[in-house]
Amino acid sequence: MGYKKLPDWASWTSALFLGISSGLQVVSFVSIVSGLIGLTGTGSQTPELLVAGTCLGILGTYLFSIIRPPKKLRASDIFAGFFSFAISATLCSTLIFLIAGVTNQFDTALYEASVALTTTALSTLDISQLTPEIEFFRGILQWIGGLVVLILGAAIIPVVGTRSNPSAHIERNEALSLGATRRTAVYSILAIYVPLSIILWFAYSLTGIGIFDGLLLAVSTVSTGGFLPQGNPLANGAVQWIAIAGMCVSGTSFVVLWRLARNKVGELKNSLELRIYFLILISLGLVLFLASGNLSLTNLRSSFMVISSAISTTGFPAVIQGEWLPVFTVLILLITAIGGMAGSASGGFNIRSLIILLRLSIRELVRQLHPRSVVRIRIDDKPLSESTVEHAVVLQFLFISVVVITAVSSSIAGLDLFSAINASIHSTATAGPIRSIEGDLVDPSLWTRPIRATLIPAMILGWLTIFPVLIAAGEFTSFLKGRLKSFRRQILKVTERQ
Amino acid sequence: MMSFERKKLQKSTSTTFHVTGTALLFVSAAMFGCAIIEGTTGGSIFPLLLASLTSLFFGGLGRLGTKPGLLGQADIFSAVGGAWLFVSLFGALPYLFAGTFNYGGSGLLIQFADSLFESISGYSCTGSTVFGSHNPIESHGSGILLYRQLTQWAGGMGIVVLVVTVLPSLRASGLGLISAEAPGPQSDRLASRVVDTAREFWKIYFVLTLFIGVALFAAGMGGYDALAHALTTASTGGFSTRDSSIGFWDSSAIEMVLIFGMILGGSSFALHWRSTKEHRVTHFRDPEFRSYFGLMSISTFAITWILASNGFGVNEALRSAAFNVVTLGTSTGFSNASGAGSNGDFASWVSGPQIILFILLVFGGCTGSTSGGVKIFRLQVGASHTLRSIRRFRRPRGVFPVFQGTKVVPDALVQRIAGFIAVYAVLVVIGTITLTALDTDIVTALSGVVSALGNMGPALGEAGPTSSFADAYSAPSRMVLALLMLVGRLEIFPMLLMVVAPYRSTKHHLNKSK
Repeated sequence: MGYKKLPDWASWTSALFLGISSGLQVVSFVSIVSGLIGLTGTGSQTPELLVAGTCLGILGTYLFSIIRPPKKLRASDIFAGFFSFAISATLCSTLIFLIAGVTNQFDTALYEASVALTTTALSTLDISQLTPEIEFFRGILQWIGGLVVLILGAAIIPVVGTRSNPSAHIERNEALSLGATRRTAVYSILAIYVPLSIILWFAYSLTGIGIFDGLLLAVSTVSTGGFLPQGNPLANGAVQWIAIAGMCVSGTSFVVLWRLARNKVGELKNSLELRIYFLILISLGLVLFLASGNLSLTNLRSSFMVISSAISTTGFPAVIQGEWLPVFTVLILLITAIGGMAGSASGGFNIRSLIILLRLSIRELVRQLHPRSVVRIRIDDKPLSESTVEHAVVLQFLFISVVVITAVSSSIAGLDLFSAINASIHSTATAGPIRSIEGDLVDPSLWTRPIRATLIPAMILGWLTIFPVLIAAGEFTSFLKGRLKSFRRQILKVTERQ
Repeated sequence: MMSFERKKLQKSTSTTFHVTGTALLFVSAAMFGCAIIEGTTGGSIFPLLLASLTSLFFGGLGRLGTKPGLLGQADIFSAVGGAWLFVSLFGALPYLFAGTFNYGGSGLLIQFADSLFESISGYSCTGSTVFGSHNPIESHGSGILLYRQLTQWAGGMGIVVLVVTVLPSLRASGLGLISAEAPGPQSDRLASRVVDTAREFWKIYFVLTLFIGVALFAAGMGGYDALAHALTTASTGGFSTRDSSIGFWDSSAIEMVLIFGMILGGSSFALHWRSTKEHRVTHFRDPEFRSYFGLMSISTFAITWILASNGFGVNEALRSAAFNVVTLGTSTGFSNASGAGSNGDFASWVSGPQIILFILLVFGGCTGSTSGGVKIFRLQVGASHTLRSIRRFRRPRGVFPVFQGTKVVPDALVQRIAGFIAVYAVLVVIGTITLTALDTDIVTALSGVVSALGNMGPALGEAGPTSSFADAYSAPSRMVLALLMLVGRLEIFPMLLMVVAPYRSTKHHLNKSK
């Protein structure tokens, strides 16, 4: 082929195309499998899924074959690859939704694809109208989305090894135990993610909701996606308890789960982040249960369902049985913004970054009294480097900026003030569903199409933990600048000759 | 024999009381002046006179019974925090003695709470008020209303800065006191001597107030109102002598003068000083001022465009947008709404402009100005810091300083700013949770907390520009907001340290004695 004829590829360009081809191939694979799943039933959308999946697969494989893999990938190349993967997977999924006739509007299909891949529980699809193959396609997309978050957050970023990557240093010490290299870390994640999904599938199936629904619910839980299959299986009490346990585990750092799997329980006792995570979970669950005024066991379960769904940013729809106080809405919004532990499948700002910021505030308070004091911020008795602290600050700044920009754009598009803030936080934290002040769940299908469109960038940014997107964008800007410079030089040469 | 530690403790306590006492003497003088005005306009002079004498007695006791000296870091925060607390407390006396908030059978406790709220709102230049349709501003005497305006004027530049002008004995500690009270992460030094710096600040402030007063008079306001509004425009406070604030005059000329005055009040006083020294406008050379001005211009155009596409005429949209953007962007809090639902009532606008105004509530004005909020400087440093991180990632061995304009910002200051923003966010969250738990709706609670911390005045939801805080918030909620106003006025750290420093000092003494 033209492999040899191609000029040398810059590492950034090959990473970009590698990401695009991976996106094409992954969506193609899921589409074909979904099509085959459809054959077990009526298979009304199987032909569309198979044809579209095959076409995408051929395109992805061709692209992969012409890419010249670089000798060494820089960290920014990896992020560019992830970003291009995200965009290509989103666009391909959009195409599948359009071809399969799930919707005939491009923006709605794009929104649904973003919602699925970013594991945000803000779907506008009418579940009762979906065929099993589309349900499966939708469910597996979020499973892949959850895996991307984990690989990026617990395997790629921490082992990147630069001294200036924000998320890296926040999660570095913890995540290194998953594996010394990116590859071993990815294997470790898969070694937890896949069995966990299977265990949950098995557990859900045991409750009698059916194997297919159990599978969909399991992938939703483990990826913190929050997509529900038909027939509302969550109405079953046993399913709810399994979902609570599953969401708690999904919001926990995979390093913690890895250590548990390795029977290194002793190391976990001192984990401040883990203690705070469970403290928030239990205390707020109890607050909801006690303050709502209904002291039944059903309400206890519902309260923990609401809290675990919010903190793990899963977004399973849950309502408490008692009275909903306005302060609950604020608390839910707060824990959704914080999210679960660093290195988990959940979205949000994460508890570890929050601890760093709070310790930084205390240190600055002390520094006001003793300006020359040297105080190191410590977590679990381990001192953090100044760059780690600095980057937690950057993450805070970026998170708030994304929330603010999304809130402004969605309010201009027509959302009221509270809903705009609420929706922007949920989108950036890849959580859902949104609650009104009275505690009712808001149906996103009631929003206009421009409103939904304003939430898509926030979801993608939140999914890729913001920073990688900006680095990819920075690299792209440099690339464009370089091209412009050379173009300008060429023009100058031509004019000089003339 | 008295130990060295004990002597040190006595000395710092003595200085704290000396500073507080001197501040109370200024407050007493203001009350006395207003008592005379109240008397000449036919009102009763006794409430203000009694409050003045009480402040004079305690202020005199504090000043004469103590001796100032050099202060340590912890003592500086105690002195500033203490002075503000006592001034706010004694500042509530005129309202209490005059029965200003004695309406509809409200109990003494509620009256005291409302008086304290109004006093703190005044001295902290917030501009939130518990006056309203149930207790109209215009039903009170000229003296008490002028006193109310004066509280903002005194609080705008800073009571402690005022104290430093008459206390040369504080020497180097004076600069610490000014820094602790000044808005922004760092303070400017205008002269080699601290006392001269404080005096220069007050001179500029006085001239600016005079200038605004004359301009308002020329634009058609009465003499008394012009003076009263000049006091609260230069200080970016926002109190008015009318129930419908600036909406009472419904005059474009007055609004234009106020917009100009508020922009000057919200920009650094060091810039005004430099301009007067160099006899030309140097403001646009400053990157913070450029961003501040640019942000307000962009917000004005954005809101005008949204309002115009939502049924407003372009002229009306521009007028309402410009006034409200500047009044909230500078943390002043005037209103040009003639009534609920009128053009200037931003609480009744569509949500797009409201969220832009909400962001302006958070941002605030420039460092070294009389405005509140997080400050543009901090946000610029935050943005520059973020960009540096992205650059560093791409070139890990590169050295990228954080710039603000052409100046390099030291890393220590960057961390201090990061700490400030984190504490600010924590306070917003805690405040909002507390207020919603006290039965306030979320939008009103959140915007009220941001407004109080940023010393803005009006908020959104039920606490809009035409509403009274007495109707929007319960009495306990108002006390929470009053506390946040004080914390916000002193830029969080001094108020928190005022609590932390004595605790640390006591702990230190206890450890020593063991």
